[in-house]
Amino acid sequence: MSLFTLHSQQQQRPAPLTPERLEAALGGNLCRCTGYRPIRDAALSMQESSWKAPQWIDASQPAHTPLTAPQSAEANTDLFAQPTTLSQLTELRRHYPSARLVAGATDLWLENTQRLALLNQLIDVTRVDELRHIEESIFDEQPGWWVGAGVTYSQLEPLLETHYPAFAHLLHRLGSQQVRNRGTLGGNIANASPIGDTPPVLLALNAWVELANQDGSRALPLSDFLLDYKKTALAADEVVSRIFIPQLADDAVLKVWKLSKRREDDISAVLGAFHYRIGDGVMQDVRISFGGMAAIPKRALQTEAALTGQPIAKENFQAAQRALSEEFQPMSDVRGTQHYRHQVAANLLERLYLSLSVPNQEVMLHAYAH
Amino acid sequence: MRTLTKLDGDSSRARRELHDHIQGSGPLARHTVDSHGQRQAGASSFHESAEKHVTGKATYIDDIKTPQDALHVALGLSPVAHGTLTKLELDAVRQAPGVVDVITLHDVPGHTDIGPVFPGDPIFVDQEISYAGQCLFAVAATSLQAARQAVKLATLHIDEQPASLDPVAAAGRQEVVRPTHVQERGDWQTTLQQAEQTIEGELFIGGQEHFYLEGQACIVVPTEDEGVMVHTSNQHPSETQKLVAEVLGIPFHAVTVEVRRMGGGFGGKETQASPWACIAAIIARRTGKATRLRLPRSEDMRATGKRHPFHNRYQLAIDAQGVIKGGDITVIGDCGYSPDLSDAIVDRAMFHADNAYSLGDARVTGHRAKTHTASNTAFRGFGGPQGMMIIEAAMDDIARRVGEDPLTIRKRNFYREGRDTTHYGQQVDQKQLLHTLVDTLETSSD
Ligand SMILES: Cc1cc2nc3c(=O)[nH]c(=O)nc-3n(C[C@H](O)[C@H](O)[C@H](O)COP(=O)(O)OP(=O)(O)OC[C@H]3O[C@@H](n4cnc5c(N)ncnc54)[C@H](O)[C@@H]3O)c2cc1C
Repeated sequence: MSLFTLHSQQQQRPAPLTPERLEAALGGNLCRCTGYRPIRDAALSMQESSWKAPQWIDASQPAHTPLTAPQSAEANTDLFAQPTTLSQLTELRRHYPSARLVAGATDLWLENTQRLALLNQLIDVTRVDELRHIEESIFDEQPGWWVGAGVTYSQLEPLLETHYPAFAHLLHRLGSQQVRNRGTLGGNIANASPIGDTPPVLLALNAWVELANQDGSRALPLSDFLLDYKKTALAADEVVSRIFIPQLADDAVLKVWKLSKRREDDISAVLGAFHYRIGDGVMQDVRISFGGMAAIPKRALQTEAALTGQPIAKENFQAAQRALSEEFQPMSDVRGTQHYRHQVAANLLERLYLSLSVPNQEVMLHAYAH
Repeated sequence: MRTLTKLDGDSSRARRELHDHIQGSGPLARHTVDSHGQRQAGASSFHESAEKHVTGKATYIDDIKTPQDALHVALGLSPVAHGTLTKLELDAVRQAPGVVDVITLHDVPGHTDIGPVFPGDPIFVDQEISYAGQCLFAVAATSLQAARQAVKLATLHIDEQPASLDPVAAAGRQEVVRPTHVQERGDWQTTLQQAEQTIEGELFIGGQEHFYLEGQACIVVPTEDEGVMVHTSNQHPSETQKLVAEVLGIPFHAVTVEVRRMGGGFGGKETQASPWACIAAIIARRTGKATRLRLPRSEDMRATGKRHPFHNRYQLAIDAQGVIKGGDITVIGDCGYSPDLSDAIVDRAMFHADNAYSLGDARVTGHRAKTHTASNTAFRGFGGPQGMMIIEAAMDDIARRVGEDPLTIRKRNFYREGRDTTHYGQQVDQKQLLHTLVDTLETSSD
């Protein structure tokens, strides 16, 4: 599996194979047939030979004629539609209210494999042109980017690398390359999982979500979109069409820290996203949000208040830690107990304090030593 | 000499070094150079199916085509670790859409115990439930989805009882799947009593899921007369042939077992691929239809055994230089609910409790603890790694105690002239190999 990922990675974004790129591609490899070392060595040796498709590769494409518009069939028949425009998509959505939208299927399909849901009516959003673009724009008087809901994590990566390095670093910890090649930003948001990785970051960035139906579209702050455990403001006839990510101000900083049991291919126990500026010796524009601490990814408003307008001092961060422990009552589950989550979330504030008091000393895990 | 697999600049040097080694008079030479002086080891060559593997064209069990009317099997697994199955209500299962056959222990025509070496592995639970994930019944339907949906309609009446999950406590209560073994040499008690100093420690080694990439899977096709053709992802096809024949009550020659390729096994399909073949074979014979059984990964993980977790402890007599004079080592393997291969696995741990070091006058005791988990089974190393871990941990403890480099302590304890008999009485005759190997590693390693 992982070698396929490596192959497609090299074809799509040819670049020298650094250990980091290599590890990203091998991250989803759970097989232990040979150990990782020979696979790494084989991959590194790929650099020495220029790639050309050997003759034995099967280049044939599966034949199919996608369904793009509603048919007059009964409500409960099998359906797999692949609209290519937003208006086709919203029309189908209205016509088949019980159909499920599917993007990368990296989350939806678990309902089939684990819970045995039938999922016999599907509308694929990934071919919809309007959902596939990233567009630089100004919205709500802020410069930023409209990102189509069908943009995959991998497609998003270059933008994040340039403008939000901490967010880009998080991507390397999100699923594995295979999952990132399929999973979409729209899917991560629409899913409304309490431990989805991008919503806390997008909350800290003050992102907006655009919802579309046949009559048009509306935009609302992400914080208004996420309502309760797996519940969103999405109406039955709507789809998530785009997400607006505001650009970071020149002096603003974004930090994102994910805690999980494994480095790759693991869901967060807790994720903290921190946005702030230091001006006049005090913290401003403080926006802190957490995943894994409540039924939805959530801003830590009391914690933010404890830091806003305050200088970087230990007692202010201690006050923030107290606020944090009061405003969240996380649950205990396989990923961590309530106590653990409280403790590590407070530790992330401690880490923020330490990294602010000793600048340029940040410790981040970028690659394993071998 | 460095490594045989590294392909960078360093490794070409390593290859040259290796080449020089094997052309020379070293002990490896006779095995790695053929009669024409051609090197055999260290040369890489393609796996014969490499192209099929990387293009996805290699046929694994689930890729084998079967007739349209082939059946798909799903299993009803126990939700509790220990208890008594008082009643199994399967009417709703039988009536579910697509269901063709439902079987329990009472539908097995031949043997019902499929323990590979020792008895103790019922093909289906009769009354006593011994682990969460143990097989209670099987459903065959026209699709896998239909079979899995139907399984959920069963009503289980279980009188649940407390589960024993602590192998140390179990061993203490003599709850074992096989009798305890002891290997003993010399008067270790006196050596311990008169030691300059003693050191002791304890170590827990966790289990491990095999995670074969292709899960447990088989297809059984009924053949002429009473026979079956079994396609299985399996490390022990001849044992599967025997068990399938016994379970069906037919002669061995009526059972053909084919393993085209494995898709990963690592020990997980040595004994634990057979139950599924047996179940599918019963259904294939009852229905006359090709029968597919592939465990979903989550059920595979629950139903099958893993690497044995071990609790090991040691007490050693050492001198001022950290050289072991004697001692007492206990290894406790968590075997799960049945013997499976645990007798040999715990033995292997005991045989490796010295690793490369002379234990002097020593006793090594191995308990095969019985707990209410899946029956732990073969896994690369077969108990060896778990045995070695305890003495390697001891080496580090000794190094800390006497304040010396752990490698120095290890080298001092290597089998050598005068200290060359293992705790189970074997004379170690290639002692020098250890010293040469480690000396070479010491000078060549980064
Ligand atoms: C091995 C593995 C590891 C993973 N690791 C992580 C991780 O580390 N972090 C993390 O956050 N997630 C992780 N996930 C979960 C998943 O990858 C993400 O949540 C992903 O973003 C889902 O996107 P998708 O495109 O695959 O959505 P899908 O699975 O296709 O859909 C998810 C949900 O969103 C709905 N939906 C999709 N698109 C739209 C739309 N445009 N409008 C409205 N509704 C829509 C679907 O109907 C469905 O309910 C992992 C998944 C796997 C399989």
